[in-house]
Amino acid sequence: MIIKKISFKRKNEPEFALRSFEFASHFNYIYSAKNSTGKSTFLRLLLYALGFSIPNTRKVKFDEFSIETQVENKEKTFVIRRENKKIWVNDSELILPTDAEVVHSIVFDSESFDLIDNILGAIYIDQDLGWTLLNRGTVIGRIKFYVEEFLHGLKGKDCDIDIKVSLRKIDDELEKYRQMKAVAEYKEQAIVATSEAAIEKGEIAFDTPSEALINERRELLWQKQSIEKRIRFLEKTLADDKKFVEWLESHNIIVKGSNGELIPVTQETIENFSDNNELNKIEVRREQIALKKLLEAIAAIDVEVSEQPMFFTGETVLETFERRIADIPLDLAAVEKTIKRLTKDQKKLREKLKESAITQNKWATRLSKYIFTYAQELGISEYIEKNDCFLFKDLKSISGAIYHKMVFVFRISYARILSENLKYKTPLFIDSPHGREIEKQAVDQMIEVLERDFAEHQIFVASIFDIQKTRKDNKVIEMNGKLFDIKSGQMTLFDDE
Amino acid sequence: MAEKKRSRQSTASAFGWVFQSSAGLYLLLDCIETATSIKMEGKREDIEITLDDNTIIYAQAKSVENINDRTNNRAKLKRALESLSDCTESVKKLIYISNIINPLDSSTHQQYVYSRTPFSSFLDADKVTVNDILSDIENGADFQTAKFELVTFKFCGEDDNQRYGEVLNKTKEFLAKTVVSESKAQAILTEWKALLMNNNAQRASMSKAEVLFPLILVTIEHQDLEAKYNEVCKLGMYDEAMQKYADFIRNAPNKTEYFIRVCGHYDKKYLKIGGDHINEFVQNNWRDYIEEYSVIEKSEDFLESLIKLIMLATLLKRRTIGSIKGAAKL
Repeated sequence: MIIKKISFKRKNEPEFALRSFEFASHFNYIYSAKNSTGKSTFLRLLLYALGFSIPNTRKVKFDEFSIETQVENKEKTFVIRRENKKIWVNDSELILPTDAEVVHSIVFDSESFDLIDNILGAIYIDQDLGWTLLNRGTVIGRIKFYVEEFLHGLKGKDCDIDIKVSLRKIDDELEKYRQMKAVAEYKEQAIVATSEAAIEKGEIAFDTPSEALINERRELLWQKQSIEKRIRFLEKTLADDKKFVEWLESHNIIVKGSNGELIPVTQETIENFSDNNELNKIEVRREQIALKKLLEAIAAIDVEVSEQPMFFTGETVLETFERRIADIPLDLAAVEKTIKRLTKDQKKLREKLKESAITQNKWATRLSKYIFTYAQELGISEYIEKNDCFLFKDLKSISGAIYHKMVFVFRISYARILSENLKYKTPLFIDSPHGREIEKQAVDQMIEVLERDFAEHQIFVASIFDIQKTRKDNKVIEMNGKLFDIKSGQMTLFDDE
Repeated sequence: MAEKKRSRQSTASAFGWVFQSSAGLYLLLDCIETATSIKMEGKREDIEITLDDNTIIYAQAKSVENINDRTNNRAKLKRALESLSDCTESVKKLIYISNIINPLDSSTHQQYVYSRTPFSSFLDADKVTVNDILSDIENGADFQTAKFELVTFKFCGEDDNQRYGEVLNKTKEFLAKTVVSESKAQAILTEWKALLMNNNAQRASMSKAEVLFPLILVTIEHQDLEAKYNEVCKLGMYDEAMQKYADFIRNAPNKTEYFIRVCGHYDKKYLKIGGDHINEFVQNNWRDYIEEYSVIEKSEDFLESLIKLIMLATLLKRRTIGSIKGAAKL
């Protein structure tokens, strides 16, 4: 897979402000001797252009841009255009983030959402959080990587679908309960604060008569809807009855009774017709009476509410919010108990998924082999054991340069296994391999690995080091800090080397 | 909760209105088998009940909110007799119905307490009282005392259970002749009160069917299918099926085409035998309906529960209709 070119400009910039870059099919060094020149922003823009939810940087807001990227993958060319939440893949319009999985499924040519959801973690190392992510955590912004999901994705799209569905359900529930907990905690604080204020003022702050009326009105409206629905059903039934009996009567059927008497088939002579039909008619009338009463009751409440001149007047948005929050029946202890239970269930399911991710999964075996081999090459294999288990281990006890190298080892192994699985060479995006405590020698060592084992991959590396260029088709894009400036026509366009 | 206190104290006229409706019902239930229609606030009288021989029971309803209030007894009696004196055609009965303990101001105070007394059984002194009043009013001479009856029933108190106690008893007496459980009496009475109090119904004549059919509605609406379901189905999925298909099960018997089809199916098998064979029929024939419901339900257990519940709801509805119509000779 190759990103051939990218063109972008802010939507409000003139046409001549369009910046265009063509990329080398192997190494693309995004370089500047100084920091804060836009290297990371440029890398992020590339990923943003492909439909990932990349957060803005402090200076550049991606949603202001119109970006067009040309990507080639397995002899197919995709022209991807993105403007904020809209994205067009070869003119098919999709909406982000809802359709992100669809976009990535097309561009990365995979039907496994487990793989698609975790693909960024396998191809991109962000300058900040990227160098802390080994097997699970944040890739960038809200995009996560979970190695067990990734392994499931490699295994096949439908494997352990039941556990995944249950886990997804629990994840969703937990998210909601956590928000509920926040509301419950807020409510407790708000009630304490407002009760104190109410005591001072000598009034009750919550559940005012007006509020009771509003609740009563809400209940009546609900009843009204229910009755209206029933009336619609009964009226439809009566219309059907009419058609049915007209149809029957139109055939002029006459039946013979046991005593030889002739009986025409009419609505009066069809056994059970009149009773049921009459009952339906009476029920409609009855529901209409009930509806009339409800409407009168609602109107009476409206009058009563309108006669309360001080109804919520002078109340700030915050006060209204607090009053409404106070009305929500929330039991903090019960919510916490549920969260605890769900977390336990979630943990169990994750354990199951972890187990099944490595059980009879040739990809897991191969992945751990790559990781171990690269770790050996970079001289850090003593920190991991030569078995599958380290894939899930928390290796955060390792620190500094070793951890940095370990991240590199894990991540390029993901990229390599991913490419084998997808049967094409995925691009790699590596931001700031130099790190804080890493020496240039170590960076060169990493680049060597990339040059050797990823020779057919397109690689984007952003660095302050002037990394050596050994191949003709490598390219350096030098940053001068002006790429994302507003192009007014007065400023010099960025010079592409 | 600070709730605005709403007075339950009725105004005098509102109380009279409520009493009149209850009196209408009380009298109707007494002659339900022969009645064909009832009119509240009729052309001539407060209550007019037409019977199957086209004769009419005319009734004047007078009430007091405080049953110890005797101040207007005589005036009320006179107004009732004045009004009833105008009824001369097709008269079956002329009734003065009241909650007043001693509406004739009889010297024997307890003589007419909560009873139905024809004029012929009045104490002589009270006959004189009535005749004296009649002689004092314009059409008094035409008044058919032989058809005159005094009906008093207990109707007092703020609490509905207390106030409607007697009407409730009448309702229960009627239900005892049907398959409808006595426990439905309260709900049925509430329905009737609403019906008779309704402004539209107040001045229009209501057929016996119009009065009785709401009773059928109340009965089938709150019909507990669970026990029956457990008798015909061993799956024990009542709650699950109701949770999923409550509306569907409620609506299906309303569809007349379906209603007559299932009832006809049942009748074909059991009409000649008679008796109640609902359970047997449902157990033996539910499979005949699989095809039409398999479109909406794939699970075999749910499907069986759904079909059986719909068949039960339909046949029990028909049984209720038959029973109430039978008891009221409708």
